[in-house]
Amino acid sequence: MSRQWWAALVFVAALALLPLGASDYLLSALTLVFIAALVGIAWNLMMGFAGQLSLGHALYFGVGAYTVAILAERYGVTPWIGMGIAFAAGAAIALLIGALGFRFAVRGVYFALLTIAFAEFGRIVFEHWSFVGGTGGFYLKALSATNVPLISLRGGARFNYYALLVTLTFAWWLSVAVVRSAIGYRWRAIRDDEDAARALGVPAFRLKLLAVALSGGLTAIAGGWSGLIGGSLFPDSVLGMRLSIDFIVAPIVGGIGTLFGPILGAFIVVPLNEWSRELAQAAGINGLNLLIYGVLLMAVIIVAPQGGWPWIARRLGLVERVPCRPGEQARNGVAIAASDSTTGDTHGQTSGRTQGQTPSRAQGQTSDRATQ
Amino acid sequence: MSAILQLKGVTRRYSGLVAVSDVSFDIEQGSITALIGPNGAGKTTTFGMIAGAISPSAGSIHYEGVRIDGVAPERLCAMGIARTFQIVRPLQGMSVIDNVMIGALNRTSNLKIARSNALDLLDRVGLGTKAFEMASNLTLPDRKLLETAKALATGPKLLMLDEVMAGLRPAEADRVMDVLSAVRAEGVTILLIEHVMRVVMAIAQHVIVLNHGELIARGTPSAIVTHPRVIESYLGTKAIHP
Repeated sequence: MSRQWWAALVFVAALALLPLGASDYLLSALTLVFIAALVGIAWNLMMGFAGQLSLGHALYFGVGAYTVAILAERYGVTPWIGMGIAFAAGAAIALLIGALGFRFAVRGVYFALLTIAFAEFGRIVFEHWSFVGGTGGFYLKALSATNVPLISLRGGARFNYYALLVTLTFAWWLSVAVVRSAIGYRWRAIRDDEDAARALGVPAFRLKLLAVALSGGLTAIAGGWSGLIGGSLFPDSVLGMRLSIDFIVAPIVGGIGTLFGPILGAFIVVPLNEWSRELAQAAGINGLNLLIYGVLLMAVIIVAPQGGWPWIARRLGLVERVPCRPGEQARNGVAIAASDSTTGDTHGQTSGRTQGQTPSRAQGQTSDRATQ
Repeated sequence: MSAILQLKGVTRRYSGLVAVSDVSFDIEQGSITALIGPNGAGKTTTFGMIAGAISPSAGSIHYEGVRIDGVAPERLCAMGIARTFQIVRPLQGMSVIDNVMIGALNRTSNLKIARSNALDLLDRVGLGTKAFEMASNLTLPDRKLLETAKALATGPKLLMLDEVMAGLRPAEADRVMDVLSAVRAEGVTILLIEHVMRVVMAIAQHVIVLNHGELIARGTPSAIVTHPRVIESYLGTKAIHP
């Protein structure tokens, strides 16, 4: 097992043992972190690896939340099955939006606009749909005394914590497996240059659909958990534009296109958000939390433009060094240092991702993005 | 010999501008054919139409007897048509070897096999020592070599190269020519756009000349260089320069 796997294992084990000595408040807060990380992983699969920007992930989240809650409350369907249906619903909606967008070659920011439009459309539909409670919201009944958490998937802080830890671990493992497979390689090719990738035989349409479907499905599961934990659902709070933006801050702070970035980002962003909100309340200054948010984002851009995880991973020595053939290391270093200053960019396609790499980094970076 | 590729009356218009006009030619299986012509002659547009990046406005393209105009590039790649881009398009966020692996994954879904195929190809074109650098760190000549390696990695039956020798030092160009000759010996048909006449004379059996979107001459390299219309298209007529 590589060093990275050990690090991941230690991390999960520490989280699994944490409830032994933690308060319910802390566990609830960490559960929110896990949900944010789960959505971050899902969003990052689509944006960080397949290169498709979504600014409407609240749609999948909200649909998942309502699906699980309504199935459980109205039809007595256990969330075990509800989660599966939520995944399918989220994936199906993502497929529909993706198929429409990709079929008509809507790319880049225009695709992002399309995702916003669909998310807002979804929110408005839910606000006017009496079946789901409209703007009045949808409520889950309070837990009965005979509640069995493992059947209803609803329980106390500790149950929720473990449920999300398991879900998150599974989602993370899934994303690692997919990103390190041929699919992941081809996603990154699409991200870097879709037309060039297609000329190399990459079936871009199908692979982009796979990315959005997987992303939408996982996000719907996060939404499902969120609904079960919160117990009340309002279109504005689970389908709103604000939520779509909140979702993407964590993976951006943690590092777009890295496997661990969204988790790290969630651990930074969610507690900071909570803390700054309390601070703003205590100080009686409205909007102080947003100010802190903004300052944090600026700090990340300045200190670690590629996100926090690549920055930390380098310092921890967790960046997987691709074995060079003997004797090449030294030569490579020289060659890169030389070409860095001379290459420039030949046709104005400077990619933001590749800038700012120091020569020594670039060298071991063959699959950095895929392996971190 | 049979034709692997047939163009019949292929035309491409861009709202009034005719980039390629009624071009017809066959490419023989196993041959090396050069497509030459002055800038703006329509060479790259013709390439794009064969590779599926551009749909012809009129005419038809057949590959191995199957009509392929309008077929998506990734389908054509799977059918054995590989192309390079004149304006090189490395996948900038990936390493050199990962770039080539993307091509190799066209033939196998096994990453280990794809990786070793990619390494072999990089050694072959002379980029082996730079396999683990980021593609964005390569110099322009190296990016040209990378384009060639990527296209070769897809395991093509028809390899289309768009000015891959431009900007290469003579020794590097010779190396690529050796690779192309070896690839051809393995049965791959090659169609190349090339301005370096030394290369064309050395490795092409057939030359097709385009000018202003029209096919003006075709034949062996030695016949082409003395062809009056070819000389006229490159150097102008005596009427213009008496």
